[in-house]
Amino acid sequence: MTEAGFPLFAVVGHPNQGKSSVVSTLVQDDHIAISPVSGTTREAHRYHLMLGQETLYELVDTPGFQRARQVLDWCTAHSDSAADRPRVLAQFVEIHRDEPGFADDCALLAPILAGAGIVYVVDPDQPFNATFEAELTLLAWTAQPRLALLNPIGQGAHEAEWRAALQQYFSLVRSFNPLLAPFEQHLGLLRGMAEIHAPWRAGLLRSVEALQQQRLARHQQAADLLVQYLQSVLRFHLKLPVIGAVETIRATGLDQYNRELQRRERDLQKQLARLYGHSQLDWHSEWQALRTTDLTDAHEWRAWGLSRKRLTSLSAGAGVMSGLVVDAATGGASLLLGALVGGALGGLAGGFAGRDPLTFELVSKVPGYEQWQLGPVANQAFATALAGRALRSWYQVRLRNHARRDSLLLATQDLSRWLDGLERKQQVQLLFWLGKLLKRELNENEQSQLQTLLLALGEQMESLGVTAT
Amino acid sequence: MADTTALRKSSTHLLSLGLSWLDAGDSEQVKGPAISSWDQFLQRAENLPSPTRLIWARLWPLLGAVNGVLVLSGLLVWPDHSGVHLLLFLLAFWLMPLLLLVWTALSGLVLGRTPWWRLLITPHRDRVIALWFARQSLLAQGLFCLSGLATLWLMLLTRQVIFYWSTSISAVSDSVASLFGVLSLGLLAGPQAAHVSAAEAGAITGWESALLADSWLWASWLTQVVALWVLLPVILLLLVCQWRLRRGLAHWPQWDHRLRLRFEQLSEPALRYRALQPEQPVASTSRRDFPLLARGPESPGFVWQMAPAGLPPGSIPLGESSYQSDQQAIKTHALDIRCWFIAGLAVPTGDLADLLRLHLAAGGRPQLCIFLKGVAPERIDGLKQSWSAFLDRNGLPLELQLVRAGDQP
Repeated sequence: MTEAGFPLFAVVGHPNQGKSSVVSTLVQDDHIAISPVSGTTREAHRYHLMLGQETLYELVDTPGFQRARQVLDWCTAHSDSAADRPRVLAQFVEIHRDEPGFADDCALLAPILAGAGIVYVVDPDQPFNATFEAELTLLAWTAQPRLALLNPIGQGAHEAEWRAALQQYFSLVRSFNPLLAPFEQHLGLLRGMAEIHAPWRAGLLRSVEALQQQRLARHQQAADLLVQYLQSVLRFHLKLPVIGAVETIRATGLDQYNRELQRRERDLQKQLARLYGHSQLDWHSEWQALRTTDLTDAHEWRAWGLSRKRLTSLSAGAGVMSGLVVDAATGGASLLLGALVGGALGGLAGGFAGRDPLTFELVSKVPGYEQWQLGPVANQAFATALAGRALRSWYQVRLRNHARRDSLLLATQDLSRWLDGLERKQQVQLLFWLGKLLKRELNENEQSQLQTLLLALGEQMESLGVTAT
Repeated sequence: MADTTALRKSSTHLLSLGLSWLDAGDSEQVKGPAISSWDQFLQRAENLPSPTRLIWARLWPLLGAVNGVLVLSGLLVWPDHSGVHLLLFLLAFWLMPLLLLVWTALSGLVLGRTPWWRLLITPHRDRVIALWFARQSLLAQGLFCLSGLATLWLMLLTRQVIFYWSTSISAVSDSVASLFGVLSLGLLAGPQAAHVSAAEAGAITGWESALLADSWLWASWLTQVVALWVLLPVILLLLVCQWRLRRGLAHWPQWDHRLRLRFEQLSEPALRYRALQPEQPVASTSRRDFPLLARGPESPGFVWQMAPAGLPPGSIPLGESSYQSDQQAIKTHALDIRCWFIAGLAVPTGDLADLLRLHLAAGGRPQLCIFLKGVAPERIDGLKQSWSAFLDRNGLPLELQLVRAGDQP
């Protein structure tokens, strides 16, 4: 344990191996500067993971080794015995810390000499050589607990060679790609860090637990956010004064409606991103796959919903669910007529969905105060498409790692009709709730039920195994 | 979330703050620093526009009081201007309030529903809002009866009021007498049968002077009946309602998804990272446009760390052994070797910079050839920036060429 009483790790390695990416992923936040340019990190930066006021662990993002062979030469020349090595290293840092040539190496070694554990990060695309060997030797000389991470930025061509070399210096060697590793692997890495030094075990396992809880809380908030979003877009309507011909009013209204829907969708995406700790997204390209000029245009939104056939079948299922509620209310006296009628009506509604997505009607005929109303959403297919897009945005944010600074692109084949891939039972339930939302606002209890369903859908989305690139 | 003791403001004020959050636009959610408690969250709503219609809901109990006066005044003139009809009084100030009371308790306190007039005030509904509306309803019902009774006593003090009842069905007479007995619940001194029949006889005969003697008796009895059946339950229900309302207000987000979402969005997350140093901005580096060659030079060169295949014979590997041996090799060949062959995957480090300086100091004119083989196209920009930054940072005025072919210089 360090003097501060919590686990402390220095993330070290050659320049441009993804050290800052590892730190960003482990603290689940994208504020940490990451750049493809080597030598971006010029000073050691310390980050605490805090639970309330308590520090769970500290990570030090260090500059890369610059002159490892020269440092090792100096230390070898000044060391008399193996026991002497940590002291010689400390002496080196003391003497050279103000020399510009060794500033990076000293900044890297200082936290380790102060008691930090070592997380050595390396890209196995490069062959192992004397410079890397010097780095490993120096780290071994510190006698601190350490593990190595193979971060395959490219093909990882020399992974086997690296693994063999690293196992001579590290008690634990793992592959970990901070850009692509799923959340469970982040926790796995922390568990691995807990294994290399017994006194740190309890603290790090608590961190794992806290991160799991945070993840769960984020999912719950996101599901809440989606419920509110769906309520707001599916119940949204515009009042339009009677100015000009009906077709003109409708066209103007649709334009306004479309802009408002897109604004609300963008807000949802921003809120989801913020919720999951992604504040540095490139908004323009991140949601490129979801970009559309006119959401109310059937050609554009149909891709996000369910196929007509599937929708008909599922709507019948949702209708049966609604009918069963009526049957239950009559104590069975309706002889399941509710389910029968509900199923038939649901099937018809799904089958004929595809007409106008929105209602458009004259709501006030008082002379001088005539008003048309555009919306709310009247078409189940359109409602499903809006829900599909929202769920897709959520999925994308869930999948994104905090180390990524580029746009997340999902495999093209996954973009179309991905809702079709979900479990039938859950699709029926989703349609049931969307059907309810088309009729009225949900009460608190119903919102909770929809939130639970969305959480289950979220879990299932992850299990679909869509790949991010 | 704060406990109830932290919320010292009136329930209505707290409700108003919560409604302000529910009414607030999406952009209001992220303004200002993170909050650490529910109390702070509500306080921040002081800066938001307050729900203007809430004032009408606050006046609702007063409306009940006004109605009480109006109804009692109406009873004095209806049905025949001759006094207060006992059964109508009981209908207006006992039966109706009692039914409303039961309905309010059932819908507001048990089922969490709101009265119809909630829509006049706010579109939002949840269990806490329902409790507040139930409280206002109970207050209105209590004040209705109180103001009715106060008007009754004011009338008695200032003018002659008689109490009577009448029916054309003789069988009902006994029932009325027993009803009066039931209303007393055995707790109050019920009116004697003589008074009951006198009230009926007076009504039938119009012998009002005989009834005047009983006015104070009837007023007291009716007051006690209303107090026992309506006012006392109203007070008890109000206490229960207020207690539950305060608890509900202290834990409001549990009962309202939208409010919970806003509260959580503004709350400081339990788990967060803290940077001990100010964030380091990504240094903006210039990116030079290095010449791109199809093939590298054909003369031998120094090979830094990763040797591309097929280098010219006589090339000297560096970075594969000790630093001193690299220095020695450079000193020996500084004048006859110019090119440094470097794989694109290699990262420029201080070691390399020192060796290049040594080459310069030994009279050489080093030239860097970076082989792009194996470098993903999307990483070439980063590579150019890295080498530009390396040359700038180390003050190396060197020529650098990118070589497209990796195997054959």
